[in-house]
Amino acid sequence: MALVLKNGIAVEDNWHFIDTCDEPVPNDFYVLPLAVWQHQFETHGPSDGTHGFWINSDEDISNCSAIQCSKALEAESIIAIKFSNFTDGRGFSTARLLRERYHYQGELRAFGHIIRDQLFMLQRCGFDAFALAEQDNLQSASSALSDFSNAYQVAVDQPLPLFRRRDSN
Amino acid sequence: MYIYDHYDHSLIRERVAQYRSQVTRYLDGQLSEEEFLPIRLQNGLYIQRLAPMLRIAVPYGLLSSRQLRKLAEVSRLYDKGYVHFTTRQNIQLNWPRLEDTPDILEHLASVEMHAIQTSGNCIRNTTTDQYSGVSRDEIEDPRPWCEIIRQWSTLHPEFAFLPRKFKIAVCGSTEDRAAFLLHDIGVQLKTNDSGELGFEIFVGGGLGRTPMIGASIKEFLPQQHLLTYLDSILRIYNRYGNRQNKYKARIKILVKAWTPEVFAQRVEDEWQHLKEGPATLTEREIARVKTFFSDPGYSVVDDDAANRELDRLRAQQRSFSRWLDRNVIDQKQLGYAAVTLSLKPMGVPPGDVTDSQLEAIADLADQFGKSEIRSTHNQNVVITDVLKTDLFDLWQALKKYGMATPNIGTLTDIICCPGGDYCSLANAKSIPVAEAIQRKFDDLDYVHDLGDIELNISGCMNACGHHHVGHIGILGVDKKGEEWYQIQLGGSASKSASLGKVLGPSLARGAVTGGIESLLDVYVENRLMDESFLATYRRIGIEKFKERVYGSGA
Repeated sequence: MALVLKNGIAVEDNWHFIDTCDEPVPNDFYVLPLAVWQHQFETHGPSDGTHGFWINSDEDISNCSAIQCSKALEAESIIAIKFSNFTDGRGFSTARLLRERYHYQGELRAFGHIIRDQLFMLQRCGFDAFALAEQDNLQSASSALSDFSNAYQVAVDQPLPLFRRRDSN
Repeated sequence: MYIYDHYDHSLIRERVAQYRSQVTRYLDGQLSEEEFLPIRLQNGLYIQRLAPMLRIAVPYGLLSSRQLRKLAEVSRLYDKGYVHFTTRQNIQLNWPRLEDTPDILEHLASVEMHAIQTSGNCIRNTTTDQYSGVSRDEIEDPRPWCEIIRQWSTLHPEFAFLPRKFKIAVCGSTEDRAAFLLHDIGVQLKTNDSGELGFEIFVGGGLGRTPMIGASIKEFLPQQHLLTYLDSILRIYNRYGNRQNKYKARIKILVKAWTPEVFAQRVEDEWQHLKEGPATLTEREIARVKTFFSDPGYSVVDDDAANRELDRLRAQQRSFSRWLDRNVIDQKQLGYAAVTLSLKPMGVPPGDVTDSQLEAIADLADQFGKSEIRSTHNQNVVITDVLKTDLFDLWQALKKYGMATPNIGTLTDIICCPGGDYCSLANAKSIPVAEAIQRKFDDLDYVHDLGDIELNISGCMNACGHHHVGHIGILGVDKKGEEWYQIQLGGSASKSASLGKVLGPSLARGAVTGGIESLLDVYVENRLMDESFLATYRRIGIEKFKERVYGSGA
């Protein structure tokens, strides 16, 4: 079973990712494409925490009516953002919007093409789970989560900018 | 000048450690070429035609004499004993070894310097007017705002992987010396009718392949909202900028496609969510940052007496008089002057300085100024806060180091990119063209008589030499493996910004100086009174210039 970094620790991943709506859906722990999840939500209401959805980093979540409904995300256990390329910075904004604007509380996972050098910033934007290609070095890669001991800006991990926290202010 | 506290120090030290581990992983083969590329770029490291090039950040062009001495030391230890000042007020080392770059950054960190975000698709060094805090037309000192923007943009977690590079300039005066209308974001400091300080925000200016002048999207933004508004602009750009085609990826393309009105509305909608949030600036923070740029303490000086003495010396020494005319401006602090050191003597690539020159500048800034210098987007260096009574001594010292060429703002004060001699993107060489022009027009009387002329040279259409906004712009192009040069006329980076028009077919390298001579002849024959080259061009149009260069059949 593949390993993911979750809250800084390498753990076995028990989520099944479903790429298309044609695939058979297992009973538990499945992650659907956004459009399929949206359809499920609209017909059956919120899930009981046993499924979630994934989106591509180029998908605009502001266009998804279910996400804008505040109840929709409360019951979800996982949302995953897939980076087709590690230089696609849109997923960083999407993550912040999910956390800060839509108040999503569950697991927020980055997968696809991401590299350890991005972990610190991804975490600041609200990701708490990472599926990295370097499975053998996962624990050593996790040290990148603490590359910096502080940061200037407001973000999900630190709701106050440094200028509101400096000793002199 | 801003002084780091323990937060700033630990941040750049941690960045050096992070970068060192990245270089190690790359050299060990654990990090692929493709993945190392954006990582090294975000730390200013290019792999150039001949060697790596490291671009060091000079936040808004401000350097202390201590930093200059460190740069001299680094250039001696790790490079060939010289550095290059860029058109974005930064400094480049042209010959470092990749393996040495972490050590270089360690040295720089000891004097509060770094190379963070000097390249790559992220928010770059914020630039401003070289006369901040001393110019007579200043509305408000832009430096505290540049520092606030520097901190906000440094390692911003959301905007490290933008569609393309992103440049911000701040203008605090009535005259524009920061070319702020040619930046992704231009910030103009202003006061409203009630006397409150704020900003007018422009977006979508820029050079490159599709040059554009920025459009105003916010007429008055109260000062406390600066960062939340910038966050909103960047978030819209990060989410909706073009990522398919790098030539259409700058924010200007998005602004044009949506129209500035629609873009402004999208930013406004986003801003409603962030406005008044925790990133809203506090009075305390604004006051704290301002204290670093407060008046360094000026003596009360008899300005009239100082001017009379300068007039007496002018009469005795014509070359001193020329230098005062071109390289020295009066500060708003009476009795003080700001002096531009020309880094454009003949035969030296524009913007290059040696280690011993750097140390000399540091010594002179200590002796005659307040231990501080500014780099300019014209690739020169300014020492501010010089007592007028010291100008003659400073001039003599500068002559000794070859930095007193009285050519600031003239034909031979050429802005020039590194071009095909160094840069792997270039289509053509630019430095030899600049040198040929300087050699051809070496008669100072003639050059001074021509007055203000901006001649800018880029070796390719990425426009690092700002050719679109030169009164005369020269663009290197590649025609079947040969270097040709397109001439443009009428560009300007001032507040009445304009983009140059192409004169006609490109010229071979050997024909460029002759072509420039023809353009100057047309100007001299047609100018009225003290009319500048640009004003004459704007009055008489391009045709006469075109005829003279290409003949009447053109």
